[in-house]
Amino acid sequence: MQMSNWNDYEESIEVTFALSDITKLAQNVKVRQRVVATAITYMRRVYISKSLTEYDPRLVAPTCLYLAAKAEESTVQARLLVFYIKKLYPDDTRYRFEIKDILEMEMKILEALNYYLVVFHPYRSLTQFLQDAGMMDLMQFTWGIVNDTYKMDLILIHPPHLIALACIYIASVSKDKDSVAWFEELRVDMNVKNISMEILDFYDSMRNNIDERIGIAFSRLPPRS
Amino acid sequence: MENEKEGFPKTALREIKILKKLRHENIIELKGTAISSGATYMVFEYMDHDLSDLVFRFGNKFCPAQIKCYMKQLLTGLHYCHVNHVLHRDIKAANLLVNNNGTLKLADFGLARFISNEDRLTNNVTTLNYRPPELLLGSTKYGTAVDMWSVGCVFAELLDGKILFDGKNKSKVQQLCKIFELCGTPDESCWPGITKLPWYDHLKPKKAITRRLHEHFRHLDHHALELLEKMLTLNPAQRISTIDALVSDYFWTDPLPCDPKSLPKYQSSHQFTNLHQLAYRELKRVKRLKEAAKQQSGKDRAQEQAGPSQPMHESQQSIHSGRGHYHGNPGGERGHGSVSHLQHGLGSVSGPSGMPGTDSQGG
Repeated sequence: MQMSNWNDYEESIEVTFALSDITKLAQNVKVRQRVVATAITYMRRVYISKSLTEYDPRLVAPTCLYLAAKAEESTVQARLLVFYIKKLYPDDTRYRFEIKDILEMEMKILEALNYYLVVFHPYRSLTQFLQDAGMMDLMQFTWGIVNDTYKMDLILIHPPHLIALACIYIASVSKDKDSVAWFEELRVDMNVKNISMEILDFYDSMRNNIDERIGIAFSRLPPRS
Repeated sequence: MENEKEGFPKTALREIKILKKLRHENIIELKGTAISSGATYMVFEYMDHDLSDLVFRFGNKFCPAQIKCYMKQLLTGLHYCHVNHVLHRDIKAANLLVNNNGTLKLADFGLARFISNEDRLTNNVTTLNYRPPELLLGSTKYGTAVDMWSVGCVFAELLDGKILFDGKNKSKVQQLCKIFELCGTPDESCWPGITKLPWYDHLKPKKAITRRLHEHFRHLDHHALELLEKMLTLNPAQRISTIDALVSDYFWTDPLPCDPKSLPKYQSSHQFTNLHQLAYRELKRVKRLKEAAKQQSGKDRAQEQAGPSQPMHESQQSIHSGRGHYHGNPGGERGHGSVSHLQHGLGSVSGPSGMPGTDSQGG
């Protein structure tokens, strides 16, 4: 498989699919949402400078989770990850990883990230904003939207507090809450509206049968050497 | 590194993570990281001295404006950490580096971490001599006040020329006794909640002692004494914060803190120890050669001539491959390799990533 046969769209779907690995693994090893979010951000950052053929996303995904857990002060043991990878993909030989594979990849990822490990997320400001707006009842709904934004690359582009605001905006509109006055008082720039539009566009595109397309694209990944 | 079961060491990861985030005149700058044969090296900017060494060598000659200058820089750097939600947790004179422009920088973030409200933190941090009473009593929920206690200890060290609570001891009990002897014994009235601390029942004072900090330092200027009192307050909730310390009268009355650039330039600590080490090494080499010469006196002459060239080669190698360790005991490992740093103007290099912070957990 030559790189030239790949287009950006497929590549972004590949990454999205591999990111779902992180989520699945995280559910098994039980880490906090913030760790998952950080792991996903690491992975997106890695694939800005590296190509999918260079670093196998099947290995990068668990390694990002491993590193994120460490950086967010809730270490997950490498052998636990290895165990759950085997459990999740019992028959897939492309997922045979040992502890040493993860530890080796960890160093490569640290280099690729240039050791920038601190990631800020929308979650923290979300609580503050909702409290201030008196819309704490929207917490769970908005939280879900924030989780969904990690399927896009918003976190690489926009400041976290604006993402939080955009999610609140979508939540309040779809639940018919009057938040106009509160947003006006905040005097935030147009960016919030643009981010909201991006999120809504993403939800639209999700309606098309994305799983199938992911499956096809992923099957074209080269086998492990 | 190869022996590490859990990959890149957590403490080194913390240190890099935090240093990458902080950029301030009074905080050591991480220039970069390098991986070589499995070990990770952190490269820092070059600093001439650490404060503990300066106190050791020139402690009695610091003038008040100079002490104010160091303290102001220390508090400014620490304030920057605290507003960025970082606890240093290992403030001590040996971790405060000073260059020949008089700039003081906080270093060794191996025990530092982000403040969080949820997590329980370990109480086994900070070098024993600088460890605050709440940690000695086993508290696992603490905040920026822990650093302020250590700052108080450094302050007293600058004023007095020697370590304040110098327990040559290695136990928490003795350290706590030292603190109580000077700062009095705490109880529920001056420190609500103290009796609920995990180790209070084990370590609680047997008899009440009154605070004698004031008497002990009565020779000091009263603004200095006032600030010291507030830093060495037993109850962490009442201990002064960085910002309050910076606006205290001490820094705004004559003599004002002097300009760092006007501070005396000291001979580099590295050079100082290094010259001694070089001299010592040279002595040993000569001695070895003499012995070799004695042994070989009856043997072939050509072999004897080959002798001197070998140690020469050895010493050159050690200069190139050695690491300049910016902290450590005076006369310890630090001297290694700083010759090359001086020549190339490079920063000092800290040891393999497994190392940071290990020295401060003893006891």
